[in-house]
Amino acid sequence: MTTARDAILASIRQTLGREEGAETTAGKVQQQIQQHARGPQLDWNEDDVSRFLGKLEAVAGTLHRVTGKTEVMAAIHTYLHQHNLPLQLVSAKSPVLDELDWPAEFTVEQRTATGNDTTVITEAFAGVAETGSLVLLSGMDSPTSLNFLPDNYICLLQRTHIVRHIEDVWDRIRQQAGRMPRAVNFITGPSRTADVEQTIQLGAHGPRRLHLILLE
Amino acid sequence: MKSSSRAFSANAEKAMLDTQLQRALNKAGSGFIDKRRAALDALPEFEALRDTAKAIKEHTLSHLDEYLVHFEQQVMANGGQVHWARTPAEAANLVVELCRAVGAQHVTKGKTMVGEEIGVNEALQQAGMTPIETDLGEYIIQLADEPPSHIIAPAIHKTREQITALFKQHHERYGLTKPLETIPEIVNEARQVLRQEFLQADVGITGANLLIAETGSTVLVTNEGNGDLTASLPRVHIVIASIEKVVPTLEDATVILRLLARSATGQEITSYTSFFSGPKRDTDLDGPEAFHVVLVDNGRTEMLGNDYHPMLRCIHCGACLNHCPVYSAIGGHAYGWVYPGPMGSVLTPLMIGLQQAPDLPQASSLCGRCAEVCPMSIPLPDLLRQHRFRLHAQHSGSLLTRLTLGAWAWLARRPAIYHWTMNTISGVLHRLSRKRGRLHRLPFASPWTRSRDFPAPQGETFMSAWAKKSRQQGGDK
Repeated sequence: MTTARDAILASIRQTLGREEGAETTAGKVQQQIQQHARGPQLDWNEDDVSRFLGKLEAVAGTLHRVTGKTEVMAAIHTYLHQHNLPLQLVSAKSPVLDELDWPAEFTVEQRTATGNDTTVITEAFAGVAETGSLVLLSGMDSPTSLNFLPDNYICLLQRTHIVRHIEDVWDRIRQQAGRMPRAVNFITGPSRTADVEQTIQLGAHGPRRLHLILLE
Repeated sequence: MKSSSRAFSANAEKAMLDTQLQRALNKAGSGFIDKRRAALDALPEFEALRDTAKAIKEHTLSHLDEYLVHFEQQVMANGGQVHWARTPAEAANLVVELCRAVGAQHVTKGKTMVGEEIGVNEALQQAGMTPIETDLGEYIIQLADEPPSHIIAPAIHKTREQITALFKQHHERYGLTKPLETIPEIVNEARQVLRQEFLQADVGITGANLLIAETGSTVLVTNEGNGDLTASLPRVHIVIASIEKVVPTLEDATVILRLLARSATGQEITSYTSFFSGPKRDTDLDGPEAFHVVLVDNGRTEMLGNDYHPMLRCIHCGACLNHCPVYSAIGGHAYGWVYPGPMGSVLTPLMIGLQQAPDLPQASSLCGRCAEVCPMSIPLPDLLRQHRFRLHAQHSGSLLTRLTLGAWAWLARRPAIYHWTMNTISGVLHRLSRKRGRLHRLPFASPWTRSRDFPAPQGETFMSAWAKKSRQQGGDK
């Protein structure tokens, strides 16, 4: 019996007039894949950090710049206070996050998210100046559910991790992780929908707010 | 999905008279058009990106078998599985079997147009595993038991009042009885209801905007975050994707992503753009235990070798719908099947048969706006014209239409008789209109004059005015 797979591939090969695994084209395909050729890229005049922050704010993200690790805690405190949120967080793991010295009145857990968590803090793998996106990679330090379940999403980003274009993220993943993690999430602002009368409303299913703490 | 494309004319007339629909379409107005314009005005690289995107797709299509095999190998290397389906029925069965095999009680679903194409909801429903749509627009039309009317804004035809009424009717069983008025209230209530569904789902089904051969990744573009919750929380993630979605590398995908959101909603990038590469790894704390990709052909291998080949470049952005004067007047349902607007009028006859949708290729003024805005440079009017040629060759259409077209063709090949006839007709119509410039009634044109005036010619054709002017100027010299 011909399987659907064989039938589909045979039909494509017949249309393209090629034999299975003809060497010339297979080589071409391998080459194309290994080249990682970049297409046209966007250009801008301002510096990459300004561009990144401008784009992030344009999609309703909020921002707090801090100059040292010691200020991160104060930034978190300010944010929670400002939005009248309980001092409870679920935290991802990272060298910076693990070093935070949480005051006694805070309840902080490092785990995956549930449907009841109000606030989460993660650290982004990269920020993309082109789009204002935060890039999160799934892994033992950074479970994906943290990015989507809480109402309030606080993300820490080190200034040196801001890259210019989306393609720079691919290069960094290839260098540092070797292969794609299970999930790579480009997050650009809070969750939104325009499905009711084309009116934009934040907080559809994912976080209602996105707050960036930029560590200089 | 069952089609009512054969009844296009009647559907269109009904749509024109549907005041609720017209109100919703009016409200949508030029929103998409203006936002796209603004996004492209800020993108001097647009033409270069468009050319590159087309070249990437054409390259991939000319090696489609190899890229699909490479994609399959990479998915398997990531610990996932690839399933192939020639027909909608084969694809829907695969999904049903995958759900059944894990004893799925609860199934959530992100928006997938290929899912609509293969009728996956109906198939799951028949198997007793009704999936819950989680994209807000899709959820609304699922409650209304209607198909999507736009490929990126499925509930664009619904007014706020209609949505409120649907929620009132269907949310009572959750104990939610508070009357809703504002948009935030509507969105919040949907969030509350669907949150439970996300958390208890056994299987999550999503589509894919792109497939990446290099890494075996599927790409999902959303704004709500529903796609990611659907893909990440359940035990099993099933991706339904058509075979032409594959591109070679992450860099190639990046080129297309730069065009997709801008062309669709005018965003530079959507809130969430996610790349999924297989199931949960040993080091992962969450994610699905199984990852399946169902690759659907449904006539696409055939398109690869015929005149409709350029249609395989389509990235489903919806720009052609948003810019189509016909779509804007009648909305998506009148088209009668999954894909509306210009791209739908090309695809539907190819997928369900030209004789099942003979009016769709005719439902266009061939104004060319769709081709102008298409980020993949698909010559949509040319493809519609191809359908018309085929219809004519198949002796389709009414005898009157065929005779009229035949007479016109005869006339158009004989310039002298053509000009004389046009002059005469235009003179007669001019006199009939008594210089008012319009006609209320006209023999042989009652379908037109029933609903609007016929603009009367000014009495002289361009050619005769030109000839007169030339004669005068010649005399002046």
